[in-house]
Amino acid sequence: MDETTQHEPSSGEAVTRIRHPDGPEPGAKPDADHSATSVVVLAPKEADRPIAAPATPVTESTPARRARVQVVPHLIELVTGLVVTPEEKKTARAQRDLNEVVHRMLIIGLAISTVLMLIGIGLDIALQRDIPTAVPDFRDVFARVAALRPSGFLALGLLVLIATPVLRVIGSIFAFIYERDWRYAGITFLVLVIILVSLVLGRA
Amino acid sequence: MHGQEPLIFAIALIVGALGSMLGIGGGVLLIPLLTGLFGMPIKTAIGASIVSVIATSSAAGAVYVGRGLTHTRLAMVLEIATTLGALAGGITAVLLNPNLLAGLFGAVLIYVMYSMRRLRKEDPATVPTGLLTAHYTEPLTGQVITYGVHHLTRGLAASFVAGNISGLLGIGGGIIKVPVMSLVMGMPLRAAIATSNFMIGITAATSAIVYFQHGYIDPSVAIPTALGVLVGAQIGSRIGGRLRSQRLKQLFQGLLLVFAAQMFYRAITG
Repeated sequence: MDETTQHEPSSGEAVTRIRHPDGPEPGAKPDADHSATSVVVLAPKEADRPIAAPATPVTESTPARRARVQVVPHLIELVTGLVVTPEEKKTARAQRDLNEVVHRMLIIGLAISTVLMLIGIGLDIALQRDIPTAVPDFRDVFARVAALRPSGFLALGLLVLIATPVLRVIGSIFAFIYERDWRYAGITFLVLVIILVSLVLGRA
Repeated sequence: MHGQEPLIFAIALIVGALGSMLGIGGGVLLIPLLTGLFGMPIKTAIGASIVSVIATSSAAGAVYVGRGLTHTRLAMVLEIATTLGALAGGITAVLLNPNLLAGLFGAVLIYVMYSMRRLRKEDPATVPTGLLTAHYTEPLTGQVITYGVHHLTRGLAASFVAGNISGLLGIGGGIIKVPVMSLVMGMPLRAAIATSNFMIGITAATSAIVYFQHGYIDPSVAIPTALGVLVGAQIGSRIGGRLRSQRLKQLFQGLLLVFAAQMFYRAITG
């Protein structure tokens, strides 16, 4: 099964480029394949991918280390939708996976934000409880949501909308980490820190 | 502003359509319209505009990112400068005298009007420079285009300025970033637009957090504005090809001039 062609058929060039490292490695350890199938519930496609790559020099190949290397990526794949291939740095595939994560963040963020705003508008029309107004305090936003006040939902919808690009940044950090691109993971983390500083310095 | 939401939505819709036809964010038109027509405080208008910038960036990003045009690595490097600029801009804006903000806005409108004169469509020769090399598939030809980046330092400086203006005045800042990325840094225009769009959302979020906590993001203004711009941008991208763009550009430049005059007047009289 070729996972990449299934993922995005249009990028023909990229597929030919990465098919080689992705293919069955002659030196693949049989036990690695075996343990991969044992966690098949988490990520069914994982069995096709080399996990403990024979190409990379494994310095400490204790069973504990190997287990961590194999299980953690599965969890991340489940959460972020990232295809975890630590050996391939800066390949077409890694780049595309990164884009895929960012793409999901955007759609999820926009959808949640829209739903919250629609609830807010609906409550406003139905209940007329309060005049929707700016709610500058984050705790107050949640208190108003709990009290089913339209202003709470509208403010929370706006907050989710504002948070969506921040989620893209967080998603990119994870993507860089799983590409083992520490430099860009660090750069992106710095961007996140600056955004978080605005949360503190931006207080009224 | 309660009760005026439908009218705000309608105006934002027109602005969004115009903006997408010209490839310019709506913020430069939104803020003068919101302040001029509704007598809204400029900081509330900026808050609404910055939210619509985030909405537009996220919606467009879902398209660009899917096409693999966005240079995420370069975006993150430049974003260090841009978010710092936006943070400084946002904090300055909430403290600054509204009249001074109006004056600054007028100056930016003049710059945008001027910069529209040299909006070019052709790409510079793209070569892999060894710095941040990336590639994408050209949607029209199916050709894979590989390019590198020139003058990263200048790009960082321009990004700081763009972020600062974005945070200060609630516009996206693509009008500064796209020409710099394309003409100075040597990126293909398509990739520059996608990357700039990705960055704009992150930059706007940074200053939006500041505006939100100061109560300048009023749902009754920000939500109709954001929705209007989003829907308008969809309409604009569909009818864009049918209109003669030169005429449209002149109309837009005329509007910018009127709005700049309005902003300068506001700066003086308050």
